[in-house]
Amino acid sequence: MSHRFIQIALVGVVSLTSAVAQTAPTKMLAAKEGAKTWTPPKTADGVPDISGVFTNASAIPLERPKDLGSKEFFTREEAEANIKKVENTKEVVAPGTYGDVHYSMAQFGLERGENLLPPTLRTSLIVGPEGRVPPLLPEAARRQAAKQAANRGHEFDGPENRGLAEQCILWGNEGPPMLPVGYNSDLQIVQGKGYVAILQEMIHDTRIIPTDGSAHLDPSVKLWFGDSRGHWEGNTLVVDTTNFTDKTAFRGSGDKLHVIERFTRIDPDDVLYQFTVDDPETWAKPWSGEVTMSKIDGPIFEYACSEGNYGLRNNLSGARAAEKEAAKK
Amino acid sequence: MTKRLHVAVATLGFGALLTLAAAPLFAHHSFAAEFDPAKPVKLKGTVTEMEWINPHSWIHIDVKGPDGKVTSWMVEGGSPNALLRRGFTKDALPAGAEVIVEGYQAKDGSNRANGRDITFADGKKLFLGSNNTGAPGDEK
Repeated sequence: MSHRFIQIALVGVVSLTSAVAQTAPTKMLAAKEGAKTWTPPKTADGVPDISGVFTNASAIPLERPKDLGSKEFFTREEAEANIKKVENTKEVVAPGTYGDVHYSMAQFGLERGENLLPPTLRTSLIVGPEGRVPPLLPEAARRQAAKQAANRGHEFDGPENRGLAEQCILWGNEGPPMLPVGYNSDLQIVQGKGYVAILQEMIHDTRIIPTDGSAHLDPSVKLWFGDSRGHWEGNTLVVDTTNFTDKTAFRGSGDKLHVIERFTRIDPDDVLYQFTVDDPETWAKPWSGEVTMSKIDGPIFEYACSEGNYGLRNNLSGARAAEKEAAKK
Repeated sequence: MTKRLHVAVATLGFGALLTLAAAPLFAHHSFAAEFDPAKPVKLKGTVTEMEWINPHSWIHIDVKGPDGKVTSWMVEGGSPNALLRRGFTKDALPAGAEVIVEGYQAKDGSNRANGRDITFADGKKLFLGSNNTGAPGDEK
């Protein structure tokens, strides 16, 4: 299977015309010829079929590198050069440094170079001339600083002081918005009558999205992933999510976080995923981005995160040992 | 599956969701908090068990010291999901296999290490029959 994962058809990819760019607000290298007239199939319930096992891994950063300024798209040549540059970037770690304390991805990880990456001409996942997350409003910056200050010096007091991922609660890909992560951006979309479900392999969660016209939960109910409600606009699934807890703190957001996602199947293998994020108590204006989800071979595997989470315990025991050592001095 | 590129993965920040380690690659948890870069270890041992558990696999090995005394070590490795996709099977690292582990010992001083590099004792990579796994930097 791994070989299928890593086969490259760079020449074929870049020689294709960007037909999809005319139907979707993106410029893709990977558009299949004829995609312009492609009509997505329907499910048995008569709605567009966006189901499948996908990855949203991407070589493109969420925020545009500052040296690219307002340049939203690469030329095809620049995109090729960028991919080569990313491909040839090697982690430089020196023995005896914290950076070296891991395991060799090249040897027994999936991560390095084994993700499928739909090519794109975009220079950042965030769209628009700025290509970056807007700065935090002063009050949001104060809120975030206060949170960080409260945990400073207490990072290893107990499991609740550790990051949400380490606690097996949330992983950055789960969203919404669902963003690619450094490894394992695999997910599955399943459709049933009146529902769409999205299973993220990491860390294990399934978002269940009613598409039956029902209203959001009462605002007093706060959820890690918020409360998502979907509806169909043409071939696009539009999902509106509110009711976030402020503990989710997506890039400094509070509990007024509001995310709108759009899923559009643009060819047999790809779903264009677009999102807009807003929180009037965090940013002065909404910001938007997009990434392509591409079909991969299934299945999605179980990821029982808490089951074997020795790492959390070991981090705490390491801290206790360090404290004992410090007390001796 | 015909139009894929593979490139090394760019790291994306996702703000306050995660407490990221100093490690350049994402881990589920902070390896830097778990293991001590000042305590490098090189262990030659015999596999007694491989725990196929998420978020990370753990390989148990028995290591015979110069005095003949056997100590048991636990070595932390990649996630089972990644290993499976990489072609690693339950038979790939059977009990009794001799391996060499290079990594760093746990900060709390117990016999645990991260599997920075693991090879069979004869120098073969763990992916038998597939020397070229396709990963950048991997030996052809």
